[in-house]
Amino acid sequence: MRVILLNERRAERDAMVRALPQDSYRVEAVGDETAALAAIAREAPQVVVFSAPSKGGQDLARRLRGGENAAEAYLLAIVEATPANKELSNLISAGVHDFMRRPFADVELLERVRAPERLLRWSRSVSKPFAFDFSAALDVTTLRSWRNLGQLVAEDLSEMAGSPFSVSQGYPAHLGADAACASIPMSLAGDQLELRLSIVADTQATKWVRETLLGDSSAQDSAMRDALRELANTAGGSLKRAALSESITLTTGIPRDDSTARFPGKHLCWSLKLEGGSGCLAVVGEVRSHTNQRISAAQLTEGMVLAHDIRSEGGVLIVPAGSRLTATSANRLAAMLGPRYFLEVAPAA
Amino acid sequence: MTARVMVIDDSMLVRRQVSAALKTPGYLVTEAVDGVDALEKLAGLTDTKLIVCDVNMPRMNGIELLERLSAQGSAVPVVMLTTEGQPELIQRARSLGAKGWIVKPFKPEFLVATAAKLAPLGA
Repeated sequence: MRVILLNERRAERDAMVRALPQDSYRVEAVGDETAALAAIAREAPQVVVFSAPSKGGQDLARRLRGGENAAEAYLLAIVEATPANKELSNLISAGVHDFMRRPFADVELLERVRAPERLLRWSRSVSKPFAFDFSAALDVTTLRSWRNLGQLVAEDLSEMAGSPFSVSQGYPAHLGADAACASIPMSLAGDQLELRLSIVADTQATKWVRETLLGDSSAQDSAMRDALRELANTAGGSLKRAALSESITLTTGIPRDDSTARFPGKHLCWSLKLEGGSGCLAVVGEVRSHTNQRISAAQLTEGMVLAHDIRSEGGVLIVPAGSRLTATSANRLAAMLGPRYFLEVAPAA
Repeated sequence: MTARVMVIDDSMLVRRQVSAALKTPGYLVTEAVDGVDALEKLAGLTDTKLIVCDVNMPRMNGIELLERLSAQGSAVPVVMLTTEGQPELIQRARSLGAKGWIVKPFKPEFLVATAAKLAPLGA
């Protein structure tokens, strides 16, 4: 494991290097930020331990995190004996995973640096599926990816926006029926389930979309709504990739403008607050069952999702189950299969 | 010397972000909103050196576009830029000749580095 140690206090730095066994850790110790960024850029570290100044610690954390190769690194901050609560929360919001107060013992440093390895083992253990009961209907709400939807989406949107969100469960009470909303339809055609993820933005957040994502504070409403649809698309991708790790393959549709009239209802809702009070986004997950339709291939249209594989007479896979048809593929299949071929499809997504 | 890149995505935001990233080092960017639009534009733009393409799009998606380009014998390298991460889909794109797969949200510098490798400026 490669560890970068950034500490301007030479004696402490040298002691830290000695505390980390050379056979387990490749440690590169540096005394200033420039050298740390250069070391990170040379080869991606798994852990960055840095001495956080009481003022500007969060900015340093952000610069380290923003350095080339550091996006996935585990950040461990060293703080003074009695740091202010605000200082610690700022460090965490800047992407720091853990902190350690001065003075610290060698064994504490070693245990803190080992923490990400334990987290990795834990993550692997909980991601192992225990069993699958194919006779029971799939309950999407029990999936880890569904329950952690808010955090999943916040992580990807943070990367897109370049700033972190604070996440809490529940629908923001101040969002009215006129709040801007975009959603992405998703489908589990084989299980006859429809999902929909929506992103709702308050007035401040729409301003943030214009200024930060579009780079134009006077961008037209159509451009802002397009950006919101892309946020919904990103949210759909976050869920879809996470669900894959639970052996669930979701089909995503095309994001569209939506309305908030049905929110919060009984849906799964999260509130994502932008940094510095610059607005709030809501993430809403809906799931409902539907009945697949049995139709002639001649009736296939854009957006329909195939519930089963389509194979040739020889058994060769032509189109896999879960495929969302475009006009191109719908027309091609209709021509290939003919009007006497009947197949099961989920509603358009 | 510049090189033309076609950016295909139904999101204006993504087209704008990708265009901005590629124009900075000097690429000439043409935008298309889906596979159908891209095929029409590519027919008149024989100097296209690279295609950056979304997967989920209306009318003709990115995989269907790859099938068409492959059938036409196109030699223009294609990089997929998408929120999708399904291994079967990635493998399908690869077998159809795609040269790369970038998952959104993307880092502009990574996209530029990919473009520089597949369609170097000044070549």
